[in-house]
Amino acid sequence: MAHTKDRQTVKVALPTGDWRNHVIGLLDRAAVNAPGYEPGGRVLRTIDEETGTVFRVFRERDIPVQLALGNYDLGICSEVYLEESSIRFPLQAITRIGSIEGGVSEVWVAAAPDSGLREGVLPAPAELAGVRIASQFPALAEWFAASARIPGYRLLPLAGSADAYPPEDTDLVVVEVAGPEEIRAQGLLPLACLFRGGLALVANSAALARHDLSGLLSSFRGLLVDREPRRFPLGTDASATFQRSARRTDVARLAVPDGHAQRHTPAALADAGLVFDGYSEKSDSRRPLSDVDGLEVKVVRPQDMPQLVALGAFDAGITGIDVLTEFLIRFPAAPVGMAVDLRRNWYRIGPVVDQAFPADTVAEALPIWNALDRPVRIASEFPALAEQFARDNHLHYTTIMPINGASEGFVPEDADILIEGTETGSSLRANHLKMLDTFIESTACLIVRTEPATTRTDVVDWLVERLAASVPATE
Amino acid sequence: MQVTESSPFTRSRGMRDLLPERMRVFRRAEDAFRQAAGRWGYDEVRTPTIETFSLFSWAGALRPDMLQRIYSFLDWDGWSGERVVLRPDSTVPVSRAAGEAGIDVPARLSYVQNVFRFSPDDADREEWQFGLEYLGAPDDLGDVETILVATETLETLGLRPVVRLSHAGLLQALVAAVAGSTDEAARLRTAVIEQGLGAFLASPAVDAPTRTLVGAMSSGDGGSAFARNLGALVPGDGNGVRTALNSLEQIASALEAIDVRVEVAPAMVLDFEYYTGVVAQVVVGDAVIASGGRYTAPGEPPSVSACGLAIDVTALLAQMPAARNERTAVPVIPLTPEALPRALEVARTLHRHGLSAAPDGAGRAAAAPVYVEVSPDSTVVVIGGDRHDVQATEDLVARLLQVK
Repeated sequence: MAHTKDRQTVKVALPTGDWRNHVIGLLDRAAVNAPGYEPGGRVLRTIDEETGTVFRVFRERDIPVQLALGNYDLGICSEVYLEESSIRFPLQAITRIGSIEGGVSEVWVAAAPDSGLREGVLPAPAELAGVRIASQFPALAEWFAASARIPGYRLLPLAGSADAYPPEDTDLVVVEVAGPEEIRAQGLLPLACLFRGGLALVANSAALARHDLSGLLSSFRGLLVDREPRRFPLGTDASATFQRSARRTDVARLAVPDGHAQRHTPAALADAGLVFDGYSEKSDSRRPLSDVDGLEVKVVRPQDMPQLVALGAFDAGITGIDVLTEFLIRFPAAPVGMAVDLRRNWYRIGPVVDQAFPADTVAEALPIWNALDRPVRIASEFPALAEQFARDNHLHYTTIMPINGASEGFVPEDADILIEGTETGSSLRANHLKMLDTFIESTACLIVRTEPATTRTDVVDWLVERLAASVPATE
Repeated sequence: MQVTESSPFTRSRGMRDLLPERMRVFRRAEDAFRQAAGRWGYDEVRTPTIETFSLFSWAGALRPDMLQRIYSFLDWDGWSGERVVLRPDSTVPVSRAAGEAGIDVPARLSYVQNVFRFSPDDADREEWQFGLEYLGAPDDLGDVETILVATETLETLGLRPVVRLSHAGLLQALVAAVAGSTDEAARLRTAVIEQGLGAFLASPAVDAPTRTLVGAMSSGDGGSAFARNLGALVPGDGNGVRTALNSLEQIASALEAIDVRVEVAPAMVLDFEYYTGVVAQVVVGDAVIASGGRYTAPGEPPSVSACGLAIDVTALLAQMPAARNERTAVPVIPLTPEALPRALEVARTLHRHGLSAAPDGAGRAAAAPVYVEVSPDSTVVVIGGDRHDVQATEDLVARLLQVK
């Protein structure tokens, strides 16, 4: 092992997800060694013993936040997420050193083909008055709406699957794509490119000013390319008119989940005698066909369902109790509630700490946390649940860090507590973590709108009955 | 309580505590404003701190960069997709409130309230304003009136204000004459708001006579004669420029006639987009204390023309001397527990005579130059160490009034 005494540890944030394989190749070319950062690898934190450099793998959306917080000195991240973060937090202490070679993506505003618009043309602001805009990039969507001077627009921040929304569930979407052809392939109409960018090398501004990062910067220098991310000015055509669509209220609309939950939900539906053509464990259709009279089905992210049902876009949805609880903590008056606990996909949620943490219950841990001479850092994909945990337990001084995944790597270096779910605890143990007391047990559930938005309440009632009857009896 | 930089007991960035010394000056200024507004017939209103985001995006009152610097968030009803904001401006909410309540127009409304806007540096992100909205204000008369409420307020406080006048119609007319589309007009207007009239002159579509006029407008400022002279340079029918300059001349003449110091400054551009007519700044020295102008009140048709003006309290307070605390409470000390009811009665009696008094402990009060000791059967007032037995309330009040 090389002699590392007196050397300042440099911490680098790397992306998981779509960019992972590309970045692995870049590190290889730059002769930067991040052991275990491999295609399909599950390592979240690793150290190059020779240089002492610490590498941490994050969801790309979390990298700007971690850099800004000063938890990491350098990072490689998507310029789209960097832009999103910079719009929302213009004072964040991040220096963009430069673009890194590799694929470029674009953020577009798009509409449904039957919106009456033409490709590449935005109508005058008044024509878009009151539009609903859905996006996984709420800050960029907000910038677009403000720049286009759209009066009275409504923004629907999404966890994903924005392309599924127009025309009945939203008027416009702001999506990240490779180019306009991808939007067309999704059955949508590209209206305006808002932003184009690829990967960037970024640094925490204070670290760049005061820490010796020269070794890594020299290694990365050869990867930098002469390309600036850019936003695009918006042009409008005053003659364009916009045709809006609304959901049908003469049918009941059911939202079923994609992603991880899609593995279990078709079986739960089948047990209730519900089979939708195009919705199976591995299908990717957004609009499966239902042979139930008056029932329309759509596939969306389970995290977005409580809001969609509350809004009246859907009358029912299959999601998790965790997601519903998170939503109702934020919006207790929203007209959505659980109709059937499907008692599937059970897992428990609680505070997760490092295995070496000297407490095994929350009661034992509280005096330790409250004696810290700094905020207790709580990371979670469920920030409202995390806040509730802090409130209910009278934690005196906390910061809540909303995160988007790769969560087991946060404790103990980047957070003191992780509010996290686990089924068997094996993943926690593998990452040298342990859960203190469980405070929520979550299962899949059917949620419904408490104030019906459909005239086919008989279909919703029928759905509730069928699913309730299919629930396995408790022991 | 000891507070360190890393402590949770620190104020949020950009927010300001109004501590006693500053509050005394604040109240003095506020009183002057309320009285001036009252003399001109304004009724006070107060709108909610939280408004819907849509109110501001519908009103078209804020430029995109301003709209992006407001404090917006999802409140308890945020599931609907409607965000709320900490009000970034008071003109739009006051117009909204008047329309929603069906207040008859014309209506003279005043307010004392705060607005919240993100600032990228360490500047205040919460600003207090003393403001006026004159809904249905007649042309020129209404403009003069709102300006005079502001100047009267400042004169009451011993300041010597100067009124700077311009007209939003000047910019609109000039831009409309050279821009090929509404998009281009919006971009050019924003450029002039941000960079001044130089941005307008950079447009190749500006013809020579207009260039001459804009050059003269940019040359500085002057009185009503300046507006009249500029009017003489307007080419052709003037496309609205002549009307704007006439209005400026009228208002400047009226103010000059009553010895208000006026500067017609056509190159002055205020940063809100909702102005449609005369705009004004009231300055003291180099500091802009108040600004406002004529606008079309947002809301349901029929549209209402209005004048508004807001005093920036931070800027105003910076011009004012510190105010002495004139209400130090006289300690009233119950010498025994049984004397507490009598001590409270003494304090209340002094309050009825306009004197500040509050019960206190013997140890803490001893350092006070004046205090009152109360036992179950006697009252002693101590002034500068001299003790005076007082038998009657009138005697106590008389001695304390003498000291005051």
